[in-house]
Amino acid sequence: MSGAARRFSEVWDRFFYTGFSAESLGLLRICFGVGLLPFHIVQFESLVRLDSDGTSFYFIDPMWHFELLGIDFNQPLLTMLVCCVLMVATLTMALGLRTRTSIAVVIVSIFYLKGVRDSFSADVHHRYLVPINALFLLLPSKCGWAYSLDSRRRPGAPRPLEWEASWPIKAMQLYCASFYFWSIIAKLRVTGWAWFNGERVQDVLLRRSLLWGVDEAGNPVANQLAYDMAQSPALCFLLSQITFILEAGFPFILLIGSPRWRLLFLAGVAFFHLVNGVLLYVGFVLMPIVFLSFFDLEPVYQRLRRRWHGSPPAETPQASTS
Amino acid sequence: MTKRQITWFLAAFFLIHWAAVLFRNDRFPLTWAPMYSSYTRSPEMKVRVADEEKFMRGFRVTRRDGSVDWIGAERLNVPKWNMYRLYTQRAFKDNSNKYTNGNSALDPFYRWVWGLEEGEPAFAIEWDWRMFWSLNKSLGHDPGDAEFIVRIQADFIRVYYNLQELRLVREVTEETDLRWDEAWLERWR
Repeated sequence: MSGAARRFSEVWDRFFYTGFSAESLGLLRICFGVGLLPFHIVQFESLVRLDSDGTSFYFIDPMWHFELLGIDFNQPLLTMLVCCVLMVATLTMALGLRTRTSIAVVIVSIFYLKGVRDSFSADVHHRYLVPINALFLLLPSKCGWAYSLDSRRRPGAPRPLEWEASWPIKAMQLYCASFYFWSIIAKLRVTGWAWFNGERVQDVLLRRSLLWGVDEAGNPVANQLAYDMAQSPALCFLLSQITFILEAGFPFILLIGSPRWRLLFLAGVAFFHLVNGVLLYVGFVLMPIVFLSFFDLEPVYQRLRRRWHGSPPAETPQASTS
Repeated sequence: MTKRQITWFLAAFFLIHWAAVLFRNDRFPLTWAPMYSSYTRSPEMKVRVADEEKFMRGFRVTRRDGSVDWIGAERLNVPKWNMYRLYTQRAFKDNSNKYTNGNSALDPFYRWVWGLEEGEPAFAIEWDWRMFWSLNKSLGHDPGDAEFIVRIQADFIRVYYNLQELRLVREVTEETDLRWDEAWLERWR
């Protein structure tokens, strides 16, 4: 192996295969699963509201996998059933009950429900991209070993090594950081630097504020704040610069060692999504559930346990090396 | 799985995702993340007004026997915001964001990969044919039926906003009037 290849291999191993314990991975599974429950509700509640005995709508543009499978209409009763299955499977995933099967069911259910929702009118929503890829990474992992009902059923299962616990978490981090970075690449590729001169932000603020119409004086009947903000080109420019910093700077979080600085940066991104949700109706408000992967949850859990129950700290196992 | 297998799995996982970015693939769960990326500046901005009562009531349709009817979200059993897009966008032959983004700023590399001529869009959808197919199939009408929908009409208010002066310019009622083309019979399924 050449020197460069060896160095690459060392960096790869250090990044993907170190840093987390099986307990950290188990806690991430629980928190991610619990976070997914409201996420699913927000994303798919409109499908549950449909009349179960009503018309089976033939999609105007089936998503690629529906086209492949020949699914070209919505069966409302089946859709509602899949919604229920999704919620139950997400809960059993969080509890660690038949973890791998649960994750697989969650993935299939999301594919089906997203297919239904986005095929009605030829949409494509990107809100599930990070969560579904996180699930893909958790599927082959040993995330069901710690803090799970599976571990009670199989008490003798060997403890996952540090590399086995670390790679899914690190890969989730890398995917998440990449996703934000790709959106900057897309903006530059399609619109160029002009995207960041403030006009695009002004455009979307006005669009969303005028969406509900205008009163006789020419003011929007709703979302007045977005409209007022759009009147200030300087503010729009600032917001576009913040977008650039958050998206282009996201990969740097992988280099930040301090959890406090990570928390600060991610809180900023979470606030960004919240503001986008309120002003622009962009449905990424619950996206921060995937940010949990940027923290080692085991020490946090132990600290909370000590503080709230006064119990002695559990013997935190030293991460075994491979 | 062994460490070696995981290494291959991770390498394949990220290679596939980066390839999707390179080739502008936006098929879930792959993406080049084009959300809100496309933008063309024009002096006047046009905004569709979401009149919930109107779009939920739906399309004014004319059947083959000449009768007129209204077909809305409840009858089609479609969620509210999907109905909004069907009513104010697809019925007006407007592309959805995925196709607008997919057709935006196609670089020479992309055109070469997918064999597209200069000016040729990556996605060209016949929304009018799809509207007739979707509505008729959903309601169980075949082309020979008296109830078969042969005309779809819709209208909504569009607001024009001057971006230089930051003021509302006018409101215009936009109308669409789609007619069934008998040549489409060949592709009816």
